[in-house]
Amino acid sequence: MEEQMMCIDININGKNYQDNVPTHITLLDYLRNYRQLTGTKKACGAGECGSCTVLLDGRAVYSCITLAIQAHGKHVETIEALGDDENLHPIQQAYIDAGAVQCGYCTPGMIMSTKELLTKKSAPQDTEIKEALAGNICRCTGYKQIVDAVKIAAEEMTFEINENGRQS
Amino acid sequence: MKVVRIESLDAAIQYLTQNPESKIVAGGTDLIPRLNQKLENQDNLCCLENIPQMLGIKKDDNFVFVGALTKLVEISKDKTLSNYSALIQAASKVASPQIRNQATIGGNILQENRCMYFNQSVPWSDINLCFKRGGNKCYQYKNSKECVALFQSDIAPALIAFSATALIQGIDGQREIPVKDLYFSAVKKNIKDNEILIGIKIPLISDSTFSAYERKTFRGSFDFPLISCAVFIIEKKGLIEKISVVLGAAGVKPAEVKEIIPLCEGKSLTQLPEIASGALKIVAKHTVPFKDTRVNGSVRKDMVKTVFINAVKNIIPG
Repeated sequence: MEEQMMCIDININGKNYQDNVPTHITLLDYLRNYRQLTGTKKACGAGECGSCTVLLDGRAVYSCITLAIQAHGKHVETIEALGDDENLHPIQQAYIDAGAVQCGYCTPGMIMSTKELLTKKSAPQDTEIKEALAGNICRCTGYKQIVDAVKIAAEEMTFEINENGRQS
Repeated sequence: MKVVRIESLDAAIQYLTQNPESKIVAGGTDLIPRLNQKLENQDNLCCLENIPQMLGIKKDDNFVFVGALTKLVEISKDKTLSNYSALIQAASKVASPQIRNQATIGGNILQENRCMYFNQSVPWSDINLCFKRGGNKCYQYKNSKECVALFQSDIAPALIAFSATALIQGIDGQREIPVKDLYFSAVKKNIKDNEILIGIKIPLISDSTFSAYERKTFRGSFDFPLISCAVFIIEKKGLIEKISVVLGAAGVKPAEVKEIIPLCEGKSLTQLPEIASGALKIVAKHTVPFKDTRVNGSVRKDMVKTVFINAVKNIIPG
């Protein structure tokens, strides 16, 4: 049977793309296999672990249970939008500083959930952090270091905003 | 597999009429995991996006209309719905933030029932073919002649407590039925292949009403309910004028505890905790002893008493 295709218009990390994709593929497979954005990890495939979390129009979603065609006309933000080896985003740096990365497989998803939280709330309480990360599972760290990382990132990002505010 | 993306209600109804085997994807958080896990095969999906009649939360003189494509996160934060505590509590407890950002209210109340003998890895379910996988056996109850998978929606019990109705669009027009009548059995719902649930109508409520939704889960979040309870009360001059108690995850469909009504109506609101304590056996009677990987049947029957008492405590002002 011939594969059904659809041309999707999608904005990924600030750039617009038009791609002809099979209609049944997930957003996760599209990002990894068509756009080579392999920072977003594939694990459970069932919306049960959170490692594939990306932001869709600013909201954290599981890309493994979202169809690529559901992202048509929308903005997608992946871990690659945050920083690179030379220039880490404050959230990425905070995860390193707090020891919140061990095997690292859950980390891109954790960081994207953190990004949504800190975009909406600059100084979250512990309970708010735990609630925001409730959809991401980590089997290594025990979570304490991850909560610490979010708090460090929140402080760092608030500081950066204040610094930039003073400069401008 | 063929997936079409449709942005108009008429076009969607037409497509479903011409392709009766097609399954609807709204948020996709219920169906797509089963497809990825190969628990079911579908050749044809109809992905509904941006359909104007199915979007938004609007209030008129008698009802609040909630479009079926409304995301759960929008429900839990909407000011129009702030009086409907049970609904907001239910919407904010579903699964995880990612699921609530993606899942819709329509999809939540029409989600498939779950059972550990079906929702498991394929090698096992291929060996033990149950009714839901096309076999001729129920592993949950050996003598059962049909599937008894558990009803898992958090939202439906709350909607039923508020006497909400479902607005369904078909090829010949619209029909409106109480949400409680949406459910026929563990595998069959009161909606045809070429019909679409377009929204929910919830009757307006006054300030002298109280409601709460409580559930038990194995984990604090990111979980399906082991058992749940929605309670809604209309108060008049300190007395209970109307009460409704609805259980979720108690059987193949939501269970209304009607026997509680004559015990409570006309009584003082302050007497409610005492009445509730005396009615625990009645509530437990509505819960089937369903076992899964986490709890056995008798534990579930005990847990319903706790969620009912907690919902009542949550409801009493002050």
